[in-house]
Parts: sequence; structure tokens; C-alpha cells
Amino acid sequence: MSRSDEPLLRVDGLKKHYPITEGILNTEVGRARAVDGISLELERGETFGIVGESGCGKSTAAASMVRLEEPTDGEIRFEGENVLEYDAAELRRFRREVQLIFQDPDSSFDPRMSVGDAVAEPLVVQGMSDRERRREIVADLLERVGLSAADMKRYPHEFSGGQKQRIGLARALTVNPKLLVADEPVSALDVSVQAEILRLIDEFQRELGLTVLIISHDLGVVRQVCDRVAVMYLGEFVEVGPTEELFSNPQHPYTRALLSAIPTPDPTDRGLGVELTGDVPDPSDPPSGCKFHTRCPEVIPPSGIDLSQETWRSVLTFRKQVERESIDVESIVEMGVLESGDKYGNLEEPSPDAIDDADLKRWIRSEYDVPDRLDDPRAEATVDDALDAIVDGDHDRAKAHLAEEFTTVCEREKPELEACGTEQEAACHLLDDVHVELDELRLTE
Amino acid sequence: MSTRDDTTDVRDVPTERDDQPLLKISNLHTYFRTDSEDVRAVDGVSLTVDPGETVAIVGESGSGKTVASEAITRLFKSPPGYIPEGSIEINGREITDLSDEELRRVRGGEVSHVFQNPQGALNPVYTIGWQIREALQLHADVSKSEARERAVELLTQVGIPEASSRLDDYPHEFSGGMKQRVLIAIALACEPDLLIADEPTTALDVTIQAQILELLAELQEQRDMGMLFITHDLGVVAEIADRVAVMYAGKIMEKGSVEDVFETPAHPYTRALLDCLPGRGGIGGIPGELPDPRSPPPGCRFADRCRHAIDACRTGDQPGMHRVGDAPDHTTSCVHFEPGRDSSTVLDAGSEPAGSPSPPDDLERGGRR
Ligand code: SF4
Ligand code: SF4
Repeated sequence: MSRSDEPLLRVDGLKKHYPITEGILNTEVGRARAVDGISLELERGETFGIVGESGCGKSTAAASMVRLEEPTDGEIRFEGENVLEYDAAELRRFRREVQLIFQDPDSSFDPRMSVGDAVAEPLVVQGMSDRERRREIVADLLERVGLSAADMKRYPHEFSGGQKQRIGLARALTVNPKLLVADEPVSALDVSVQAEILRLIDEFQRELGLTVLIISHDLGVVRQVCDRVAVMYLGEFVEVGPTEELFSNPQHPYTRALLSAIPTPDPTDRGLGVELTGDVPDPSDPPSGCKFHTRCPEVIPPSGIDLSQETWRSVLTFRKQVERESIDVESIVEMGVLESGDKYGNLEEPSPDAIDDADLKRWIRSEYDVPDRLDDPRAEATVDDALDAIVDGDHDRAKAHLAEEFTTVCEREKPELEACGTEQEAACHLLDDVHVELDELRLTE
Repeated sequence: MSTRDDTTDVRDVPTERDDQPLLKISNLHTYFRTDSEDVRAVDGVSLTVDPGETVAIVGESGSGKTVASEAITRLFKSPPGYIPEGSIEINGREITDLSDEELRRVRGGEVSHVFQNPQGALNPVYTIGWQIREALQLHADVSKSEARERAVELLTQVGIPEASSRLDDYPHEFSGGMKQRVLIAIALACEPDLLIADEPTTALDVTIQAQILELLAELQEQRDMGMLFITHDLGVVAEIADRVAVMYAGKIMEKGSVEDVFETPAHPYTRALLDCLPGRGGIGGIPGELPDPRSPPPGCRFADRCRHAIDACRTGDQPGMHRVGDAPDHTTSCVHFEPGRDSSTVLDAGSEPAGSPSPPDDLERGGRR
């Protein structure tokens, strides 16, 4: 039974955690939070994209939604039915109505099976015994994906990667699925072939009213075919919205950073915008508050601190390092000595004790891109105190100084997805301010 | 150099430069023997890289771009690979006839490579420090402590924080982006004049790619190093290159400054490739397949997929490199740019979708019996 006002697929608070175990007893010592509470609704006939960098959890999210992986938590409804409560027969039907294609089409073909048999396989599984009818359907589909009926007799290895992906698509469509989930469907292909496969998906989506979920690391791909997009970072959606709005008016700093990192095919427009420093944090130990705060170029400064955004970002990164006790003074000394030329040139074993405190403090600042002198006197005094403490080997004192002055709302409070446009949502504290300002504006008008 | 250049690049580098190019490839062929006919991976390519300049070779799989870059220092497996014809000069010295031993010295000296897959290029059982010191000591006679200092310096230059404490770490302790930085450090250890980077950012996420591209541009500027950059990504080309050569099926289809080529793409293949990019015209791709590299058809290699093909495209050799407009260095291998023909046939054509195997519109789902 299906109610047409229900979205085709509704996902609520979906989580997929993997236990990290240790020792022969497999004691759980932590959890990799691959997917950490995402919600979405797929309307019938729409193409929805999930985009993010490697390790963000996008593939796990898709796999969990269709129960290739058992979710840790959350709710999944397909045409209103609770997918997590399906019995074996219902699950089989669900598996037919939801078809998948993957990055590597080879993984879904048996090399010894002819293309015709491979494409017909889902029909056989479904119980269609009429050979002639199967043949007709397969021939028709092969032609629709740009191959010919004669290709039925050939074997997968005789085809190029792009052709194999077409065959994969034909196979997925044999059983009239309602939902097509495509996980990086074109990322192994050349651009000229990518464009063709995407066009095919687009055509099928329009002509057959298919609902499509595309997982990709490539914003270009998503932009080309999706109606709506969700941007994922460390297991969460940070922004969701209609494709054009999201691309032309990104609201989340991570979306902005991702977009500005894409090289444009225009040599007069060089420089890749905001640069994100560092790597994606470990999903088993995600940062508090906003998970992006360790890399966010727009991270919000505490009120009363008057620093340029760039300097503030460096100071916060420095504070985080101090907190994790990963300031490696020895290493900084070694590099400093190397670069100092004559002053410490004849030191046999460079050790922190042999270095002037002032030099050492300067070297630590430069290692973390903290300017030699901060414009804001209060901030400067705090950083200087903390550096004194580090030079004295008193990390706790350094931590305390820095924590007192430099905490940000971004690490204290987790931002929730909130509306920021007609259908656009983003999870960022910067938007809290916007709302306040808007309210104030309305009041003063 | 070889002057047997008959089909391509007759007008290579029309403006005389006083200083000689760092790398000069002329009419390079690289074939691979098979049971039947040879695979002609690179089939007559000419190209120069000046000191301090970045030249990109852009192409899709099967274009021969990687083989061309590997042929320079003969990195391909030989046999079956061989260079039947052509010349490669580095700083004016012909290197196609060098012995393996001599070439190895070129590789650890004037020329260095960075590859796509940082995982595979580092040895998992040795520390990062050990691998950089190896590279340093291969190239120059340095003591262990000097090598360590240099290693720390190099790692710092490529943006590895707290480098000296990372020397004893193993490759698996580095992220993908960090591994690529380490490999760049290793490539720089010999202070090369020419860095050959083959898809160095393709396996990385975009935000990490942005970091690595910036790093490469910075290092190149500091060292006045020449760079040959192999990529499939036109966006990356526009970001980093001074000049670009577009390759297809073993041949160069078009080359010129990035400004000229992106502003006035001339070859139908270049134009089609640009149209494949999101937001550039159309969704559609380039229907058809590459020609068989064992027995390429006569005439233009792109003819089977080209919407501007005429009879003249299917006879003789690949068309010569003809000037595009007035730009001195901008040339393309297409008959429509021959003197006496009208290049606007190609240049003024819109980006309407090419003939494509699209399903007929009236075939509804229910139409399937
Ligand atoms: S909440 Fe703060 S850290 Fe997170 S994205 Fe917004 S500004 Fe950046
Ligand atoms: S020479 Fe002919 S086939 Fe080749 S690109 Fe030009 S028009 Fe097309």
C-alpha cells in the first residue's frame, strides 16, 4: 500500500556507528560514528545528491538507508512503511524496488556471464520464466542505454568502463525500480563518458519518473543532475537545499569552502579561494559542538576579541594543539635552530634549554602561524602568558590561560539544521546571528 | 634533434627563444609490442617546457598522456615498450640514447616524478625519514646528520607540521594529502630542474587538492623549476598551467597558452571536452569510442566522433598543426584551420548536443512489452 502524499523515502535521525574493538575479548573501546543522525525526505521523481569528501559517511549513509548495512539508530520509511521492520519477503520486494549502481561496474558482473544474462538476472530472480519476454526487455533496455541488442551475446570484458556502467544501469532498470541509488556512478570514468552516463540517468529519471539518490564526492556531478543536494561532513548534513540555491548562495562555511576549492576552467580566475587547513578529523573522536570548528575558516570569535579572522583561526588552532598536548617543542627547536643560521649554529644537541625564551616563543608562534604580536592587547597578553607557560613546561597553565580567553560558541554548542531560505537549511551558528539581526531589523522598521 | 617531423608540429615554437628549453620533445613515438600489431600509445608528439614554466598535458584515458610523460625518463616497462622514433632533450642534451644507468641518474637529478597514488609510491616498511634520506643520499654524498637536516627542511617546505617529530613515522600514519606532500618532498630532494607530476591530485579530495596545487605552484616559483603536469582535469589545467597540450589517441590535438586555449578552444575535441564540464553548455558527453590504438584509421584520429568531420578528415595523416587566429603559440591539428579553409565552421558552432544514442521520447515505461 502506498500513500501518494508520503515521500517515497523518509529517513529520520539515521545513525550508523561501528564499534572499535581491542584485544581478544573484542572490548569496545570506541565508536566510529560514520553516520551520526541524518534526516531526509525523497520526493517521488526527484534526484537527490549527497556530496562530501572521503570519510564523511556518505556511502555508509546510502547503504544504511537501503539496509545493506543495519542502522544503529533512526527510522526509515519507504512509501510510509517501516523498512526496519520488514520481514524477509518484504525485504526482497524492497530490494527489487530499490536498485543500486556502484562506482566499479565490474563488481556487479560475473565475468563468465554474458551481458544478456547479466541484465536479465534480476528478472529471473523475480520469477519471470518467459525467455522470449526477458530477451525483449533486455534488448530494449540495452538500446535505451545506447548499446545494441546484439551486445547481449558479448561478455563484460569486451566493454569499456563507460559501456559497463551503461549495462549496469540497464540491469538496474529491468525490474522497474522506484528508487535508484547510485554510489559514485561516474567517478571512475572520463569526463566525456561521465557526461553521457549522467545524461542517461537524467533522462530515465524524467521519462520513467524514477527517484534517484546520487552519492558523490564531485560537486560538479551533483550540480549537473540533482534537484536537491545535502552536503555531508563527519557523519552529518551541514547544509541541504535545492541545487541551484545551494551552489549560488551557499550558507554553510564548509559548503563555501568546498565550492571555492573546485578549480574553474577559467585561467583568468586563478586561486582556489578559501583554503581549508588540515585533514578531516577522526570520526571516532569528532570535535565537540560544530564538528567543523577545527577547520572552519569562519569560526566565530568570542565577543570582545578583536582579531582578523585569519589570525583568530590560527590562535584557535594553536589552542587546540595545546589542549591535545601536541605542541612538540623539541621538533620546533630543531627546525628553529636549522633556520636561525649562526646564532645557534654550533649547538651540538639542540634542546629547548639552550634557546632564549624569546626565540623559542617566536618559533612556536611561527609554527602555528600566530603573528609575533596580536593587535588585540588582551589576546596578545593571553597568548604570551600561555607561551611562557609552555616554555616553562607547564602545559596545564597554558591550557587554562587559553581556554579562559579563547572559547567559541562553535565548540560549545552543536548547531542544528535551520531554515535559511525558502527550502535551504544549514547548521551553523553564523546563521543564529543572521536570524537575530533579521528580527532586529524587522523590529526597527 | 630529429627533423623527421612530418605530420605534426611543423610550426612548433615559432617565436625564437634565446635560452634553450629545459625539455624539448620532438616527434616522440612510444609503442608497445603485442602479439599482433604494436599499440601506438604515443604517436608523434612535440612539446617544450621552459625553465620555471608549467606545461600541462590534458587528455582522457587512452590519450597517451601518461605514457608520454613516462617516456621522458623511460619509466615504462621495456620490453614491451620502446621508442621507435623521436627525440627528447633535457637542457640541450639528447637522452633517448642513454643507457639505463645514465637515465637513472637523470631521474634522480635533473628530472623527478610525482605520481597519482601516494599509497603505492611510498614503501610501507620504512619510515618517512628513511625514505627521504635515501633519496638525498642517492643524489649527493651527504652525511647522515646532514641528510636528516635536509629531510626536516624539505618536509617543512612541503607543509608538514613539526617535521622533525614525523621523521620516524611510517607512511600509514599519514593521511592521503600528507603522503602526497611527503612524495613531493622526496621528488624535490634531488633539486630537479623538471618536475613531472602525473595526476598528483586526482586521488585526493578537492580541499586537499587545493592545498597541493598551491604548494606545487609555490615550490615551483621559489625554485624556478619547470613542471610538466599530466591531468584529465581541465579545471586543474586552468588553475596551474602556463601552456597546455590537449592529447587524444596518441597525438596532440591542440596546444597553446592556457589563456588562448580556454578563451578560443579550436579543436573540436577540446571544444567537446570543455562542453562536458558542468555549467558549460550541455550535458551530453562525447559519443563514440577511441580508435583502436593498434591500427588507427587514416586521417584525423578524432574523425569518428567529430561533428565537423568532412571527407578531407579521413585521408592521409593526422592534419598538421595550424595556427589559430593571431596567437603565436596557439596551434591545432584540424583541417578546418588549414590555410584556405574557413575555421569559423568550428569556432562559431554552438554547443548543441552532438548526435547521441538517446532513447526515443515516446518509449514510455509501459511501452516495454
Ligand atoms: S558553527 Fe562555527 S565552526 Fe561551525 S561552521 Fe558555523 S562558524 Fe564554522
Ligand atoms: S580534422 Fe576533421 S575530424 Fe579532425 S577534428 Fe578537424 S574536423 Fe574533426
